[in-house]
Amino acid sequence: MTVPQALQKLYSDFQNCVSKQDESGFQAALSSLKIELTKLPSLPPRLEEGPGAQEERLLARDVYETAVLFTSSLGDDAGFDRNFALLKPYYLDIRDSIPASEKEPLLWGLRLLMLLVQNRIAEFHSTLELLPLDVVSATEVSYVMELEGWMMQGSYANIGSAKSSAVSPYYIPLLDRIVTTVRNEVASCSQAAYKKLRIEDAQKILDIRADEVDAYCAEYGWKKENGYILLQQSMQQDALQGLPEAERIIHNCMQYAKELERII
Amino acid sequence: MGKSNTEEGDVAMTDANDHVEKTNKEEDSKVQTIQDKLLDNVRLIEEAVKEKEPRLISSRLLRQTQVLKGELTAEGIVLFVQTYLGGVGETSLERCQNVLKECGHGFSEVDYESKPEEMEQEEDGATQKKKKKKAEIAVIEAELYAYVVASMYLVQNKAWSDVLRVCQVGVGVLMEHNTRIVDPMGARLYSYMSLASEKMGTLSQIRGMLLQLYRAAVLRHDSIGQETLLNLLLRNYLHYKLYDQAEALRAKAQPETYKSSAQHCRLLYYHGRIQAVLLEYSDAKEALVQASRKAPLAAKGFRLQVAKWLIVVRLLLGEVPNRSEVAPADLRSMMHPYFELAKAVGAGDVNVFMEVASKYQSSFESDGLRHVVARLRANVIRSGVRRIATAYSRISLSDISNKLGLTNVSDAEYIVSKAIRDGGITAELDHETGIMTCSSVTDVYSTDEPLNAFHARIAFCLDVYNEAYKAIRHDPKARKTWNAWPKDVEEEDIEAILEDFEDYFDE
Repeated sequence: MTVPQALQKLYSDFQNCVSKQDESGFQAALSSLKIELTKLPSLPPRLEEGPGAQEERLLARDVYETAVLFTSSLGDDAGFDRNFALLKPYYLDIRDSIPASEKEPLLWGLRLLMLLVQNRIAEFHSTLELLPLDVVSATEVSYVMELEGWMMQGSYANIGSAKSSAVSPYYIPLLDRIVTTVRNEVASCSQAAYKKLRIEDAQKILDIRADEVDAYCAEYGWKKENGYILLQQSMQQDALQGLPEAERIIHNCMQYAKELERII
Repeated sequence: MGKSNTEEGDVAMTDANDHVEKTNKEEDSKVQTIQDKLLDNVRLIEEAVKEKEPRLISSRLLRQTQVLKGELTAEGIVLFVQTYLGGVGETSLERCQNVLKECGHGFSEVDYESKPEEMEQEEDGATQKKKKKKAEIAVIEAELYAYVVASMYLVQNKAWSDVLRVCQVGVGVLMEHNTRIVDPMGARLYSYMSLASEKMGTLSQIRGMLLQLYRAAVLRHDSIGQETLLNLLLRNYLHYKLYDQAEALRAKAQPETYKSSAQHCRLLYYHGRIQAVLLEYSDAKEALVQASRKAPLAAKGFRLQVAKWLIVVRLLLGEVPNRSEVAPADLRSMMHPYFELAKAVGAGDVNVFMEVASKYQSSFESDGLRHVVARLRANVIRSGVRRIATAYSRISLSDISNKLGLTNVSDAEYIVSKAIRDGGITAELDHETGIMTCSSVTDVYSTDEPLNAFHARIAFCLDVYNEAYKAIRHDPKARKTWNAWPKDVEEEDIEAILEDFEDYFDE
């Protein structure tokens, strides 16, 4: 049994909306498609085998892949998570029953990049473990892994230049967001490392324009003086640190006393 | 002459016949001995059922059966089943025999129709009746015991589909029969079932059943079953690298106390692995260290795996362990890739690290550590920075970038500033001159390092004490005599004792 007519029509509507970049039409088309897809028996979670199973699964996978790509270009994080969660079973559970998708490495790469941008590093790594070997070695995915390595290492300079070597146009909006994350990281690192910085140097390090310097100083509590930014004035002095220390020591000693009392 | 020849021939023949008969008898007696041993074990089951003491089964019975592992034969097992269940449990006997008939490795060749010899003919009718009565209460338990023994034998012979079949029948019996006595045997059956599925590559198919069994175990307060099934489920998830799901299960389902230290040990290992992948390195290290301490010496493969994960987690935490600390002597030869890794991380040289990582990639992959090892690159650089910071008081950033093998100076600057922020080194950067100034480490005792170290040790000792205290088991028989007030103490004596007490307090 081939795919029913109603479904085919909805599918072509859906693709039209995507190619025209019509956001509201896309949402409506996607919702009605999802409802129609639940009626097909061969899709997860029912996973019944049948003559048309492969065709149905390929169709469903294509729908979700397109949905994921479109939501990522819209910048809709929650939508991206939802649609990717719907797509995951097609890549993992029923991997063997349908031929591999060409877009698979791109979509996994996109997912990993999204997790990196949102700083969900633990999920990044657990997702990475799930990936089969041939996906891991694909350029889209290894690019993102490289990026993560640089971020952990602290080679922030490379990240700035990574944008030019982006493997896919879908990555570009996410890379912009990473640059912002990186900038904040660099600001907090600089605060710990430098006593003072010349303003032009600070601009270069943080990769910001002259007019943005004031905004950063206000945010981090830095003072400007004679063309220098004073960074470490804003740090709290150690005097106040004595207090939580004392509290901890008291807490520990009380615990020891309690345990010893119990023994004796 | 001819006559004497035939005579000699006859003598030779009879000798040969005698010899054959003797070996037959020996074999028979050997088979009888297996059967005897199994029958003795079954007496233990009867006692356990009478006393309602499942611990007898979990410790003594299973240990004794383990001892028999080498001597099991298909014939012996079938004979034992027929002898014991023959008079008392016809349905059990039939069920058992039907399943065993299908199995290979000698089971299908045994003659199921022949009745075993009546060994106990000297006993009078009364002893026989008593034995029969005792046997009647333990029919299902004995049947399950037979399944456990048969599975053990089949596992030894690596007949995985047969093991699966036997275990499934056993599990079916278990589900109908809800007593706590059979819990340890049930746990064994679950483990064999999971092992067989793993070897056959069909682990994902039994996941649903394992979850169902786990629910049943929880509802029945079957603690050993719960612990075993939780571990089997975690193993199932980790086999397919489903770390998120494994963590979700473990977080909700981890039991508070443990009956079986072997299962606890396994749980700690799985816990450590999950936390290591999810970036919780301190938790992971604690769990893995405990697992390595609890592991029995005989479990070489297990200890090796724990040691491998432990060394990687230690490296990720920034410690560089030395050889003796990480692996005991008997495992050292198999951990060669990991020692090289530790050396590369300690040296702080990225190129060497990348070489080692690619050289041993296949062995890391088979241990499931490939991606975790890849994370070590940042640690290599960090330890390189730390070495430089301890060695130099002032050094230019360009020199640092040369030493670390980095491509450009601004990279080095970013890396060093991140290291400072993360607390790896104490230093200051001066951007204009491009110099890093390191403050040398001051007196450690003025910081709170000693306090933390002592606190960790004290907490550990107190934990050990508390756990030992909780684990004390009193002998149930001793309690019976202790609780009873001695009968010959008279009322007046008690009053006299109480008066003495009062006098004591008045003083």
